[in-house]
Formats: sequence, C-alpha cells, structure tokens
Amino acid sequence: MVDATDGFLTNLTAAAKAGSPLGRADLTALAQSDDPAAFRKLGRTLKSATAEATGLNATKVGVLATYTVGPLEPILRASLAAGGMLPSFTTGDYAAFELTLSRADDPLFDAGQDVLFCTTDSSYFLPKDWSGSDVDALTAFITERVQSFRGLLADVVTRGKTTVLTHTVPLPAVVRDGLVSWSARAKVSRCWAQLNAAILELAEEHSAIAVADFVSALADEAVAAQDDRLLRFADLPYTDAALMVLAREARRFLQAKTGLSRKVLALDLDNTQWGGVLGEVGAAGVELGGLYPGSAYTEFQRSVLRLRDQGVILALASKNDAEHVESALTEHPEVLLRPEMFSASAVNWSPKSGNLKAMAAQLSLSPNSFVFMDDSRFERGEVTAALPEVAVIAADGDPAYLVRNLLRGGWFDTLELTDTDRKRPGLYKARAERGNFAEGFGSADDYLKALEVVVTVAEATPFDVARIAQLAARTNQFNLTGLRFDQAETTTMSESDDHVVLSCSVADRFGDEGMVGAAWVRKDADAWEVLNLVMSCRVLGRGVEQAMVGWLLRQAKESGAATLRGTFTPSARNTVSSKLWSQLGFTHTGDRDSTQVHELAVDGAADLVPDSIQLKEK
Amino acid sequence: MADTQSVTDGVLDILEDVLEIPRADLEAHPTLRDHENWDSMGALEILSQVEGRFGVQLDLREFNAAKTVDELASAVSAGIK
Repeated sequence: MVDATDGFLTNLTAAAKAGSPLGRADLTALAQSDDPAAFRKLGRTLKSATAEATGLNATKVGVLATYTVGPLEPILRASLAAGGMLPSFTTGDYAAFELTLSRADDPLFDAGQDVLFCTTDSSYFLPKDWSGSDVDALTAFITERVQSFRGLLADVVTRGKTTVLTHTVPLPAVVRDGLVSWSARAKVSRCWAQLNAAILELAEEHSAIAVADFVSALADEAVAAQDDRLLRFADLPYTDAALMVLAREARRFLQAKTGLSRKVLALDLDNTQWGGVLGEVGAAGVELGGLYPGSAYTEFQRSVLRLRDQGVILALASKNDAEHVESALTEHPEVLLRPEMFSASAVNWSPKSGNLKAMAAQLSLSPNSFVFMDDSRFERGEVTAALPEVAVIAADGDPAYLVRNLLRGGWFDTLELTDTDRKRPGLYKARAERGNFAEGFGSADDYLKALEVVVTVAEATPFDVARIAQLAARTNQFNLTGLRFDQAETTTMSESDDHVVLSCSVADRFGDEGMVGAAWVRKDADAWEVLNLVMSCRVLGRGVEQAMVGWLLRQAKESGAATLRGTFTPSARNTVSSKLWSQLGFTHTGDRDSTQVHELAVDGAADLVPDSIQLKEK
Repeated sequence: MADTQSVTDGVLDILEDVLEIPRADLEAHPTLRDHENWDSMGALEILSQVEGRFGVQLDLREFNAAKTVDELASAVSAGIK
C-alpha cells in the first residue's frame, strides 16, 4: 500500500497496453517525474489508447512548430496524461509554419481544438547568417521577425475559434558568444529580451493567447536547452529535458483550461508547516521562523498564504490533540497560517483519507479537487490507496524544498480571462520595492520615517529562546562581545530575577522581518550591564540597535539603577558594531582584558529611542 | 573499465524498449536497420537513453556508423573508457 507509486511507469504502461484505466496515483507520480525516457515510453504506448479505456479526458491539441516535432509528441502526450488528459494531435507541417498560420481553413484551427500549441525556436527569429560587425542589422531583423510572429498569432485568435499557447525562446549561445564585443553582445541580448517581452505581451493583449515563460523555466531547472548534435542532424533545437519543461507548461495550461485544476490544499502540520513534532517538543520547541531550518517553514507558510490570497482553499489534516494544535496555531508568534485561515480542519487520530473525505463533503467539493501534502510516507500511502484521485505531494526531505515541491506541479493554475485580471500587476519582492522607495527621499531620516519602522522589544518568552540562541550562535558582525549564550543559559537568565533577556522584532511598511535582535543583561543593584547584544545585519542602518538600548535605558531608569553599562570585545568581524556605545553617548571608562567598558549615567540621560522608530513594548 | 557483456545487455534493454522488438529477435537479426521499427527518430531516442544510462557522450558519426547491436555496444564501451 505504502509503495503504491513506486512502479508507476510499469503500472501505467501495462494499463495503457491492456486498455484499462490508468491509476490516478501513478499519474500523480508521473507528474512529479523528470525522466524523459519514461515520458517517451508511456507517450508511445498511449498513442493507440482511447480516452474511454484509460479514464482520461479526451483533449484536442493542435501542434505547430518551427522545428521537427519528433520527440515532443510522445513527451507532450505523457505529460498531459499526468494531468488527466489524453490528447489527440493535429500536427502542422513544420516547413510551412507561417503559411499554415495564415491559412484560416487549416484543420489546426477547428473549433473543437482545445488549444493550438505554437512552438518556436530561435531559428525562426534569426537570419541564416549575420555579420558580427553590424549588430544593428541583426537586431533590426530580429525585431521585424517578432512583429511578424505577433501579427500572425493575433490574426489567428481574431478569427475567433482558437486558443493559442506559445512561449518565450532562449537566445542560443552561438549568437551571444559569437559576438566578441561586450557592448554589441549586450545590445543583441537586450533585443532578444525585448523579443521575449513582445511575445509575453501577447498574453496581455489577447485573452485567447497564453504564453509560457519557457526561458525562465529552463533557467530554473538548469537543463541544457540544446544538444548541438540533434540540432545539426535532425533540426531538433531542444533536448528531451527541455521538452519536458515545455510539456509541463502545456499540461498546466490545459489543466487550467479544461477545469482539471485543484481547488483545495490539505496540509499536514508536524514536519510540514513547522519542523518537529508538537506532541514531543511542545509549541515552543517547533522549528519555525528565524534562520534555517525554521526559515524554510516560514517561507512555506508564506507561499501557502499567497495561494490562499489567490483563492486556494486550505484544509488542515493533522494527527494530533486538537486543543494542543489550536493553542499552538493561535499563540506561536511565528505561525502565519492561523486556525481561521483553514476553511476545514481535521485534527484527530483517525486515518487521514477519511478526514479528507469528510472535509471534502463539508466544503461541497469532490476529493479530486484536493492536493494533499504530508511528510509521512505512510500517510501519503494511506491517502493514495483510499483516495487515488487526490494529488499527493511529498513534504519530507530537506524543508528548503517545501515551497518548490508545493508549487512546481502547478496544481492550482487558473486562467484569468478578463482583461482586468490579466493586467493585475505582478507581485514583487518587498526588498526590491524598498530599494525603489528609498530613491525618492532627500535624507536617510526622511526615508526611515516614511518606512514606518516598528520595533517590538520584549522580555524573552519560552517561544523566543530557541531563536535567540540561534541568533547568538550565528551572528558574527553585529555581535558586541562574542559571548554566545546557548538555549539553556538563555532560559536560565530569562527566568531569573537578576538578569533580563530581551528579544527584538522589526517590521516596516514592506513586511515583517521577524525577530532580528537580542540582548543579555545582568541587573545589579546599582548598574545594569549588557553582557552581549546581537542583531542581524539585515536590519542595519534603521536605528534598531539604538531602539534596543533605548528600551534598556527606560527599564533601567524604572528599576532605579544608576548606571547602564555596555561592553564591547573587538573581533576580526565585529567592527560594524564597534561604535555603538560612543555614538549613543556612553563614556569609555576602562577595559577588562580585551573588553571595553562603556558607561552612561541613567539619571538625566536623554531618551535614546530614535524618532523615526515606533517602539512597541510587550 | 566497462564489462562488455553488461554494456551489450544494457544496450539490448534499451533497443527492446524503444523499438518494441523482443530481445530474441534482436539477437537473431542484429542488423538494426533491418527492423521495421528502426527510424531516425527512434535512433536518436536510443542515443539519448544510451548516453543517459552509461553516462557517456558519443560522436554522432560513430553512433550512426554502428550497424548492429554489437557495433553499437562497442561504440558505447569506447565512450566509457
């Protein structure tokens, strides 16, 4: 049962040959495979299969290529099968690419066609020969070709019956490296980037044209786009591995177009949404937030939240005690997926397949609209065996891959058919925007004020201790004394009366950085001494360290201490923090071995929290 | 050092799979182009599978010159060295 998907290729090939339904779980396993040989083999076997016998949805696909279709056809057939579709192909003559596009009565444009897959390679856009000393002629040629391509596709969809899928095209190395001058090479590359931009623009201009960004997908998969031997010998510009990438894009598009996309993401909790088992380590002990591996789980939660923002329904499927989970999801400071974000939830000790079925009923959806993600091979196997129509994604292995594994299959793709939807601006990274934002300000102070930095300083809670210890262990630059208090020492100090451990989190208008700083302070009757203060360099230059010391000064004042004492031990890497005390008005009063001692009289000292920062105290 | 027999076996596996010809037929009639299922696209698929399985990169001229199962296997063995 557990190994139901291991022999997926054997199972699928046998079923295709016997004319019996293909196993859903085997198809999901196929969708996650990168083995071109498997795709080719299954694609060949499925050529004579029927939709009725295989249980797949019949799909009509026109293929028009500027190159030899050859291996694309079996690979595409298997890829579409992985998405639940069995295509019948109408293939145009590759030697007559433009002629075919302009012939309105060609069978490729029949109304029954689900999509016309229009696939090109660089040869279509490049002259047979070109001069390296006249790149203007080359760029003019490329520009003219892409305009003609755009015109042809626009005509096809304007005739009204056809939906077209096309893609961006990689610039071959022979062109790029064939230019010896850096300036000419940049110019040609820019022209090529504009070519791809112009192809992508088709998708914004015509609701019946979809464009896959093949170039980005190739770069991300790091597969070779071209095998020179195959190109020269057989006019095959793309390797099998590259065709797999292209076929996956086609599958995602057709799944979305034919209503086979999934709507619900059902997530396990332990070792999927955070590291560790809640029942064993407690809410404060799970890995979430901070540095790796906690950061990987945070990023995963962020991605899930982003899917939810786009309409994906979330369901929680966890084997745990319900109360325990409810309080951890509500109270853990780093959790992003709070209980109310899940539209359905099943936290109990029953088999997960039954829980998924019950949640499907609750949502009035069929299990075949579910994607289920779990780190346990056992749970995945159980769900697969009982509900083969659920798409199952593995969440085990290195948590850094969680996001990729979730998103790579494109299970939730939808088509946005209105022009308004199409023009929705893309999401951009907060950091990049932060950079642009800074350009419009006269001074750093103005910028900081507009940034609306909120610093939250609080005494460490048991939830924070692991992250604080992690900061101590990993921070080298903004680390005043190099004393790396571990989790046990930090816990002891945070619980004792004569010490205070503080944690510091930062957010600004662009997002939440989470916990970025900590300090360990000994409270003597007359003086508070900062044993160490560490801060992530990510937030340097925003006055965060100053706010932390400002908070300490306020607390020291309140407790009646006369002196706030700071220490600094120079190391090879912490020069960035060497001036902290003197900049804040502390006086260098002496040294203990290599450690400098700086003091500030609490009484009469001006408040240190910068104006640009809103300090929140918990 | 590649074991000749295991290379021949591996090549036969791939041929059997891609050309959909039983192994016994291939052994009885080792000249590749005599088989009806042999064509240039199939040949290129065999090339890519052979290269993937044995981790070699062949000169296409040598690959195309191999007329029989054994010649193909020795082209692969040469590549392994």
